[in-house]
Amino acid sequence: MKFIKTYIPLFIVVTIGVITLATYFIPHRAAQTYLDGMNSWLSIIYSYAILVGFVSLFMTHGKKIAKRVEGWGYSLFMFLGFFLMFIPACFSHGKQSVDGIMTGYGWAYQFLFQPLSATMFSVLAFYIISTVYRSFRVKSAQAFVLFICALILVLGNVPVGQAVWETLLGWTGLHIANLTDWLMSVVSVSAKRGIMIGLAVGGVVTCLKMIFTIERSYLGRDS
Amino acid sequence: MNKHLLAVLLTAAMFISPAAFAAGKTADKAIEKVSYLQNIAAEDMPGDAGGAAVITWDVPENAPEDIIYRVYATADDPENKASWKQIAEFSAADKTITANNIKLPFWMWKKGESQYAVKVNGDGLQARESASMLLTAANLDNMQKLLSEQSAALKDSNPELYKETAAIAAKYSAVSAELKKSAAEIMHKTDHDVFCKVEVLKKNKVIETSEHLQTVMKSNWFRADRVNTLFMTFLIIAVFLYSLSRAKKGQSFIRRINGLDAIEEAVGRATEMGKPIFYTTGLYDIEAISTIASVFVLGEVAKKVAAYDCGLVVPHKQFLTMSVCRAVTKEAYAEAGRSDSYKEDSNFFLNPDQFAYATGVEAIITREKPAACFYMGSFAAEALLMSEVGTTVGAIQVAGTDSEDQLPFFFTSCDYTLIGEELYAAGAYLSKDPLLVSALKVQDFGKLLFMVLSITAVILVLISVKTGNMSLQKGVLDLLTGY
Repeated sequence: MKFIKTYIPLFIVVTIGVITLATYFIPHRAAQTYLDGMNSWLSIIYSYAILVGFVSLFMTHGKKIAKRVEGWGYSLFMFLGFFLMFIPACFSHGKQSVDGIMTGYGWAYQFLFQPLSATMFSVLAFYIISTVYRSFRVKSAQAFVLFICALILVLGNVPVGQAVWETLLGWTGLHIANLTDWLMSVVSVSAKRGIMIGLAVGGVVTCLKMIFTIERSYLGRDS
Repeated sequence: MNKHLLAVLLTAAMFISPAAFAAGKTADKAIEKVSYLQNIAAEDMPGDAGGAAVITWDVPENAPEDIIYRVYATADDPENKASWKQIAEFSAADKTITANNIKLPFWMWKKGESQYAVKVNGDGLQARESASMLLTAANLDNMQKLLSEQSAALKDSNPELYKETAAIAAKYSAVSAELKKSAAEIMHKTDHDVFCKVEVLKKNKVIETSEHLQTVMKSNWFRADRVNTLFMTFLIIAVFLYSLSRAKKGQSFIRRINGLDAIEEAVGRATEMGKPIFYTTGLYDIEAISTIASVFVLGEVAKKVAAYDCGLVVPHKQFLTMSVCRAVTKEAYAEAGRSDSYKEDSNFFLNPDQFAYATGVEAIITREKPAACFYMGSFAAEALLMSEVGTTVGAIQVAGTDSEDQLPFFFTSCDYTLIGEELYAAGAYLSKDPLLVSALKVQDFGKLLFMVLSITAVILVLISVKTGNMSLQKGVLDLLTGY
């Protein structure tokens, strides 16, 4: 049993890991064919995972409705939403328009799904305001630096901000646009690149941990 | 004596003067016929997957600006004029088409601005050759069909002619099949011959043409331009193995990460309040490193949740990640000795759409009011939508992400935030497994190496700019470039 549960998965991980790493240094078409094959395998696995996902979705919400748990009406609404999109999609073969005429699926997508998605995205604006309010509460030296940077960026990005800057701080000879550019292209980019270098190194080490079978928690405790 | 000398000089003059005259004439001709295609050569593009070649020749000194170069290539018969395809056309005044444009490091490409270099993409030529064969095959098929139809009418009236026509139709069919096979072989062949030629034009008149330059576009087995990356890979693997050997001696130290130390506190709080723990693995599927790291953290969080016997809610956006997380959570419960407490629906699928998923998460957080929320993985615009709702319900929030654009949002709305690589280190930190912890040393080594290399490179580049030594600058930049 241990052979099936541990050694075979480890063998697959090590072999595929080493070969895939090697393909980075092998430009030959055989390597490209191998990578295409791996992508096909991934697509096949995804197809099965979709089935598992939908079973999970229906089971979770089905149980809630059957047991009448608190908020079971939302689960009913999930089924309603699902079939409202699924049935028209079946009739129109997944096409949003046929010969320039909008199908039922296209209508549901364009006039139900998209406005709902856009609504959620626009809610973000209100959350940003509350976040900005919290950021502007200066409690430490670091928070003060953050506040100053945020203030400069806000002033630099609104027309009235430039007028305010010129009136109050025009005598310094500094232009708000130049300051904003400097903050975004020097300070912000250098911090981002530092994080990106750390991420790249961390990514390499995570991959090595898996290739060298140091990290095997995904195999379970028997490993 | 003088007579003799005069006779010798006259005789010598008889022999020398025509030669000198001829030499003078040749020299004049050489002046007239300056070659604009000195040292022309075609070669395979080094270190590529095949399907590319490069033609180079010297940039002539003092070439008139009205000189135009036209570069042609064919993967077919070079004697067939129709098979040649124009690859490039540029003026001699255009100094940008030099060998400097071929992006290869100095250890693979020595040529510079003193030579023109034109890259020939052979894949298009192969496709052209293959398409031409398929077209001929289609024509033959049509003719074969026509002949077969007409010969059918002759079957009874003229059996002899019928036989002959049928034989010709069969021949057409065989040739067509052969052509189709060859067309398929061309597209699957790894090494291809390519012929190139360059024409020099002045006032729209061809004044010079190179010979047919033949080369083989090889599908190489090694990318020599990535030698620097290979060296770094081996170096990091060596340090990795050294760290592992040290780990077995128990000599590793790891700095504290407050965000991860807070997990114990968060789970304890949830137990006291009788509320669940909320966990999300982010937007991307299991092939993303951030998701893999998040799955490791989930395993450790689930162990603590199982030990304290409080609830765990893990909604998923990706099908495959959900399957993996289910297995990891189940094993974590088993490891904590609480298999009986494990609930299959603690990991469940929510929605594959970004904002629909965010809406679902918001609804869950609002209704369930978890005591602690963990956001580990890669996030986009939905990061703030989720974490702000967590703030409003008063949950302890720990975020860890490699999406640097979302870090400011997490900083302001979460109690603890793991920055970038801390997320990758989190699994090892929480498990306290000496082998995993030792691997973190490699991350530190990698960062140190990059710092040293960056500072050294900046100094060397500044020196090269100051001294005008451009080859030093190119060398340094080539060594640090990932090709």
